[in-house]
Amino acid sequence: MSCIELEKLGRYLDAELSEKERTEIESHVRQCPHCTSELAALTSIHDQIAAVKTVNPPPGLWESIETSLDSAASSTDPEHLRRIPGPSNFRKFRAAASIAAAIGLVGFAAFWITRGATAQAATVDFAILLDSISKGAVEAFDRFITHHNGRPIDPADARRSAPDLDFEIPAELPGEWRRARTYRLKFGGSQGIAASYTRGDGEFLATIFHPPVKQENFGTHIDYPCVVGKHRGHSVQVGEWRMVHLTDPSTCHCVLSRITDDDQLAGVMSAIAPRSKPSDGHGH
Amino acid sequence: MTEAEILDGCRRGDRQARHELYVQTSTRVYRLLLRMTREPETALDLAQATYLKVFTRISQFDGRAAIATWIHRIAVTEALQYLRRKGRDAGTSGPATEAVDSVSDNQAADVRMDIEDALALLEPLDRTMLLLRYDVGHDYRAIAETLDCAEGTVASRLNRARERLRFVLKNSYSPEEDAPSKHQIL
Repeated sequence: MSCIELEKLGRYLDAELSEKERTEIESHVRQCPHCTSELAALTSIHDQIAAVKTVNPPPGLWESIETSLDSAASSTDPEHLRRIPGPSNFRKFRAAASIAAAIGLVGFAAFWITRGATAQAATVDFAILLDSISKGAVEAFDRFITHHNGRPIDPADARRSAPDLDFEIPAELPGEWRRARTYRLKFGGSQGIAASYTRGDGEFLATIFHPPVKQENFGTHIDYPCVVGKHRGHSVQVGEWRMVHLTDPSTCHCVLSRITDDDQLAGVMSAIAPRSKPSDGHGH
Repeated sequence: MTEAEILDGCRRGDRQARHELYVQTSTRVYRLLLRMTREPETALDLAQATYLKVFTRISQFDGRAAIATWIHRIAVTEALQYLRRKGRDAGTSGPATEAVDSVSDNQAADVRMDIEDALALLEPLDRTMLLLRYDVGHDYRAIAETLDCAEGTVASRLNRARERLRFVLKNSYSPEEDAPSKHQIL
């Protein structure tokens, strides 16, 4: 019997041969050093590929899937699922952005935003947060996080995840707020960061950081100029909830809370934007 | 919960059934995506996209293949589409080159790093074939169902992938590339 074809040796190794074929091969291999060596090489490949240690999915994956499903189920738009930002949309956006350089940014923006299915990739969509906040701030925040492809991260990695942004997410904020969860967000091709805080009485506070160049969508809500401590900023009020933005040249710092004490709110803003100067504040 | 109960629950949108299906399948799906892309964040994105499709298209699952095979098919399709796009963006056929940072913590990891580096130099479909067979453990029929091709194609393609992997392990460059020494001479 001549030497066995490699493909057949592979089928033998993979248990994809009949009993008769297996017996023939085993008989040949016993008296053929070349085929013995080939079979050993194939077995080594199998063993090396299979030997990699178990890698568990990161914590938070199931929660993000479930939140996306809930978000899709609550949407009146049956196409909602297709609009969840994913790798494909980000790459489409980047490709389209290169075209924009040729046809002009304004034209590009109009073209992109009217596409609906992908417009939100380039927009910080606060409407999705503010529209449902009266029904539950935590759920509304989760929906916003999912909408912008949020991924739970270690707080220590936040700065590295968004190196272009200047912000802080301390473990505690003035007012006995304790940091709960931290997320990396994506706004088109840019990175963002969000962190949620809670305190003993069950109150919830969220911080969101994004590049100031991104378009913001407040839906039907109105964004008014305001002054917080030493900074000029903007704020949106929805019922008891207030979202305040301080925008400096590198970062828009947003805080969503029900804080009514302006001094406490100023302390929170200073803690998350310690390097933002009073003169930095400007409109979006 | 039996597989039939899980599937029935998923079709009704039952949270517990969905979670059970996720728990039973996600470790292999995530590891497959991580080894196909070598990018942890991308693997996470693709895993999310996979399960969103699984749960929103569960009514299309006809039971002819195992549910795990059907899920792997969705995951592999997502990953191959990503790798093709990445290859187009980079102007290459797309072998991944980024290091996996989770496999360098002991001596045994050195061996694994070698095989991961070698797999990364293969074409995405060759890499997928080898992972489906030797990591996931699919037989040829399941691989054919996952990749929507004939079993005979699986045998010949696996053979080619194994040969290319052996070449890379021996020479430390892809058979599609020129040998490094030629570059050095030039």
